Amino acid sequence: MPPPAELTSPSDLELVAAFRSGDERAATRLVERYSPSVARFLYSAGAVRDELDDLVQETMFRAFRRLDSWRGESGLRSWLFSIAGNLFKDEARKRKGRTVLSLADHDAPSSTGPDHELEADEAAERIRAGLATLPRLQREVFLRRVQLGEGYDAIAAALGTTPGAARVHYHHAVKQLKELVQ
Amino acid sequence: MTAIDCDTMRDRMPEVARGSATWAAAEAAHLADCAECRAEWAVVSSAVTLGARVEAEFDAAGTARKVVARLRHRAPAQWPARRYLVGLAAAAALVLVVSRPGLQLPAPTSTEEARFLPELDSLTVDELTVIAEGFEAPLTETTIIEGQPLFELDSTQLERVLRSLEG
Repeated sequence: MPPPAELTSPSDLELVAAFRSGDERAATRLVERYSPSVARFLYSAGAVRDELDDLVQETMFRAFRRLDSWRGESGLRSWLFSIAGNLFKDEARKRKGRTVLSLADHDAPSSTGPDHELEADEAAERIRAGLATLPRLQREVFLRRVQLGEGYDAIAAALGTTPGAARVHYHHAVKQLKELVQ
Repeated sequence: MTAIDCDTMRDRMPEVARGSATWAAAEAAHLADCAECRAEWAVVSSAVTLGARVEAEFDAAGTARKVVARLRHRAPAQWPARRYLVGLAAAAALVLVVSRPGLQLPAPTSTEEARFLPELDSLTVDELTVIAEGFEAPLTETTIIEGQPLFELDSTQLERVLRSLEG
């Protein structure tokens, strides 16, 4: 027996359709659904915490303005990551010469956790600092592959490249990150 | 060394690190034997946790309120930019129309009208065509690079369009 309608969560397509017909609550639900993962993506790519709110807000705002260009073939989250990636690239270009992230200014890991958690946090932060130094395609292919679990075909479609090239970008990213972790 | 190769391991690591799959016995054996794959696994398994705390602590409700508030006011906020861009688009369209090869412009009705750009009087048709093509190129380039309609360009991109028009 299917669950009652009030218990099922509306799909992205349903929410987008509702937003297009003027339902503000649909926009609220979409932002609440995806803004945390967009924030994580931007943070992982090297954005500093103080700027995350603004970057995520701008990403979501741009997405609603360009909603007609989302055809529903790629997932909405993947499409949002593309917008966020472009925005982050533009911001980085605007402040050319200024370091987005260095090993010294990363968010300090919590000191309350067990030692192995601290080590895991530190390894993750080294990777984050390393990611910020990679070319954009390498960084985004790596994050999409690892954090979103996207396949190379989907990554290639989202980033406007080929699956073979996406695989090569991933390989190069891993090779450089390995040196940071070891 | 086991029968599993490193490329297969590389393809499997993200899904295992994310918890949507587990290592098969042969893969676990390869990982134990292969230092390169262990190093790669250290990267992938750490990267999976990257930013998890940021995601968990992010104020999604607050962001939603701000985005919805901006969407409510988006039409009035865009009016100044639209007025500016309508003028810009009209100027660009005029340049494109005037520069079209073979276009027959009506003959001027007086000497004063004919001399509205006297520095062009001495040029041949071919030279004028080259100049006109020089106007077209930056407009086309800008549109292709950004892949966006003019009304969605930000201030930096608009400056680039203007600079290209001004040569």
